[in-house]
Amino acid sequence: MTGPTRVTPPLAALWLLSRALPPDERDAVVGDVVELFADRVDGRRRFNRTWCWLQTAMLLLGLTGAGTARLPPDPFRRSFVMRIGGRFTLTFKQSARRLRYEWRYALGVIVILGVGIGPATAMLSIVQRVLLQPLAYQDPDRLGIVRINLGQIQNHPGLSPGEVIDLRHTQGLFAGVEAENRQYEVTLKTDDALVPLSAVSITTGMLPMLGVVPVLGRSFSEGDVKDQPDAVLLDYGTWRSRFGADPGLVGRRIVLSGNPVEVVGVLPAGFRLMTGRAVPKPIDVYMPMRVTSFRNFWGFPTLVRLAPGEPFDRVNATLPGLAASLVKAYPDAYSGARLQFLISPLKDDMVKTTRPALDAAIVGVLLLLAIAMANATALVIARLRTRERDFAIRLAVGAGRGSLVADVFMESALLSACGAILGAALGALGLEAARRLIPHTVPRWDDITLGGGVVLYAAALALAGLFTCGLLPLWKASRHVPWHALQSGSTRSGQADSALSRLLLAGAQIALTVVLAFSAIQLVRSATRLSEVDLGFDPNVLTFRTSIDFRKFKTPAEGTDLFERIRDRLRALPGIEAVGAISHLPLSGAVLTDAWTTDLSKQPGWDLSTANYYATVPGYFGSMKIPFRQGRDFSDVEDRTAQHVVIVDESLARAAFPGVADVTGRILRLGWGLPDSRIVGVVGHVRGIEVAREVRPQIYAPEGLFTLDQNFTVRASGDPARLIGPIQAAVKELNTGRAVAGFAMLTDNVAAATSTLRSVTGLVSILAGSAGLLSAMGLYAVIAYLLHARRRATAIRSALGATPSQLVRLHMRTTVRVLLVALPVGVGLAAAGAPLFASLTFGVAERDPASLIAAALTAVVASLAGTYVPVRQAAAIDPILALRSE
Amino acid sequence: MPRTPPPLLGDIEQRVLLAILRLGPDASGVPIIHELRRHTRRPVLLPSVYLALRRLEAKRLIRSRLGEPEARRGGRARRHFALEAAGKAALRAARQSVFSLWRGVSLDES
Repeated sequence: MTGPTRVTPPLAALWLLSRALPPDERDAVVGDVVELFADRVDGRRRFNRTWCWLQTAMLLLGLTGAGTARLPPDPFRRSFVMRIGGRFTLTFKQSARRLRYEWRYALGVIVILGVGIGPATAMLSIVQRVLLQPLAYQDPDRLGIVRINLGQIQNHPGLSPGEVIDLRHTQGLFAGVEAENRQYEVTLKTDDALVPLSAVSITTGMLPMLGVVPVLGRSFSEGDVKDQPDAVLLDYGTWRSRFGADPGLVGRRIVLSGNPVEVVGVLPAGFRLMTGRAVPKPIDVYMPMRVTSFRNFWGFPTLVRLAPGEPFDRVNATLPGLAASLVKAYPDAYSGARLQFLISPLKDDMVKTTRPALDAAIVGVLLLLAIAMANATALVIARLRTRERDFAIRLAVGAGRGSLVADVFMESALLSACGAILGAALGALGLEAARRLIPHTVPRWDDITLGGGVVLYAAALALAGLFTCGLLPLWKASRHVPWHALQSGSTRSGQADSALSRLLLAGAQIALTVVLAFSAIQLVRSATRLSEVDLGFDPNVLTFRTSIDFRKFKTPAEGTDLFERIRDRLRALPGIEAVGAISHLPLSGAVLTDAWTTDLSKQPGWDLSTANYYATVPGYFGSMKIPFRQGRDFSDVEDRTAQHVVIVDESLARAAFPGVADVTGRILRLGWGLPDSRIVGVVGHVRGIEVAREVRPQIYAPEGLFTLDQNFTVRASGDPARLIGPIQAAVKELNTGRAVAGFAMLTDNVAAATSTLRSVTGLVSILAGSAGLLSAMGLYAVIAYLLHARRRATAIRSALGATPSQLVRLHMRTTVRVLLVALPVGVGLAAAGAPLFASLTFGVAERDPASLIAAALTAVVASLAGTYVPVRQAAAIDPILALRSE
Repeated sequence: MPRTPPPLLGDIEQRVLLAILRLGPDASGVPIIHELRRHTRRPVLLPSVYLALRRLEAKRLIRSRLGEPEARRGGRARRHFALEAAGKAALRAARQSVFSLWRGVSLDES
């Protein structure tokens, strides 16, 4: 004995065992189990309680079942549990044996269930994680995000700092209004390297509002807010990977972008700041932010916590008054444009872009599941009919109805359990495949895990399978009078109602197949159209970021000089064809928007015309292969001396100067108080925000005019990956004090921008393929069954001289009739469901006739394929053999 | 009067009988299981051992008696097993038949 903490065997198992065993064996066997358990514990073996349960299960199955009766048998001494256990074991063994004997049937049902359950479990796990699970903040349902509409700018997730203060001053609406600025790069200087880190600044109340407490150290206080912030909070992962999880780090100083800052705390593992982004980028460092009263730059995503008892709609109803008063109070900032604040629950906002895709996918998997269930049920019913005679005999010789029910139920339970296991395995594989295929554009994608959830869903779906496969056929079977089955003989069933119900099931599958095939065809066509879109640039460029510390330079021109030196140095590297740089890469999700006007007598208004604003350098357009329509690129002198020149895209040229052939030399007035600028060139439009459509025209200014961190674009002649090392070395040689980060191909941005459509297309295509296969299998089973029932008639026809081709035509008629009913229904359903997919499709009509016809044809081909094999077999029947077996 | 031949033994029955023979007066559930494990390369399943004991007792090849309750067994008694004369005869016959089958053949020669 090792003391009072000794591990004991599970009492429930021992209780069950002693209930089930006969009294004279009870002590000996249970005592042995307890002793063996104690031996294992003393031997320091693991999983002892699991072992105990396993032994209990084996002993219950082995010692209480049929064939284990002791001599002489004594039924009166058997306890209740033992009798039930015995019955259970017997039924289990018999069912398992029967299914093993009819393994083709069993395998068919299991595969069908697995194919239906697999995608459904995977999809439900995703939905559970992405759509349903609450955010990992305190009381997350009270958190909202503020978006604004300002003239042409719609649904923008950033406020100006002045508006943050305005919202804070509203009475009684909010328990908190906190903002962050956009993410930026900082460089951590370690003893031997410069490490790029991503940083974000947050207002000091942000973490307390979210209910997040650092695991080490403290949160920000008001005292941390300074012009030059010197307090930082670290991300948990960064603390572990960059600082070796050193608990002494808190209170020490680290050097970020040349400034020593104090680490005041470490945030909890898994914390992510979700403000306005579907997928938050990993952030390494958090800094405190000061809220100013500026009102010219809408770049601060803002979260609110509603005051207790305030619902979202009441808060939203109060905000128009505030907006109107602001427009009146600050005419310069808003230039009379319509201002609107929209507050939506944070989680809804986050899943907004993914929701249509997920909805479409859910509909797809549920359709597939319905097809699989219908198919499996049809198979189980067909098999029950073949066992009718067997049941009738058993009833006639005195078997209870209960034992027959238990029999059927046990078989269904076994089949659905195996189907669930297969489905869970397929679901797990599918989830893993999806995780690799789909880029990180789905919220919380990293958190979607295999395991518990998937298995739970598989079990729930298997239970549903059990009810359809087990209870529905049972209900049908119980309506048959046993002697009827005996009289009719086993080979001549084919009663009208059964054939009809089975044809209806087959028809339903065909109709659902049409729906899935239509969706798949629409999406494939959309994906093809989307891949053919002219982006306006060639994305085969290597990109990377670096920042420089403008505070180090006396004038912005010195920073511009450094950027220029970097570009010159890179151009000198072998294998590099062209080098450019820009403040915001196309399709990166980051963008600056500014208002513009050609009327130099007034300020540009937000309600009139807006454009995306980029700061760029000479050579950028060349490196991206963006064509010049008119004029020329910036000169180095214009860049360095920050002359007031701009290059605009053709859309802006058309909109600003309609009918003017050459717009170079014209003057454009911009917002933000920037000086009026002369247009020196016109370039092609670039799909910079969305691949599918032009969002806004574009204005490019020389980088020297408006210095920002730069994204470099490098066009290489060979493999761009080989350039990463030389580029890093080249930048380091110039001693900028900043790390080079974020090496990527611009093609990745394009892929990410189209990933939702591509992933949904892939998923729905797989579902449609599976559905086609399943309904072909289902039709095969039904037709084969019907033909088997009509064997006699076929044989007589054949004996009377019908040729095989005549017989094939005759039997194909059934399928044709089913198709005649199912196809219009399927096409109707597909057309009715089309709006569900409308937000995902691109470049095809919502109810495109060509797609509808193609979907119908797919279903026809699948049905005919499923029918032809059994019909061919039936036509080749030898009439003598068939009639003799009657 | 012809003597009734000893009953034929199944593989597990023969092993359990041999284990009881080897253990002598100590033969009871757990030692039998340990003995079988020591001499068998395969895992020993508890139900098969108890089923064999049931059958052997039903065929009157072994007899059993309950011992005293033991603390290590959670206050449960131990069932002790001993060979009957018929059990010894069955083992002897089994050994005899194996020996006679082996006589005159060798695996090494073929």
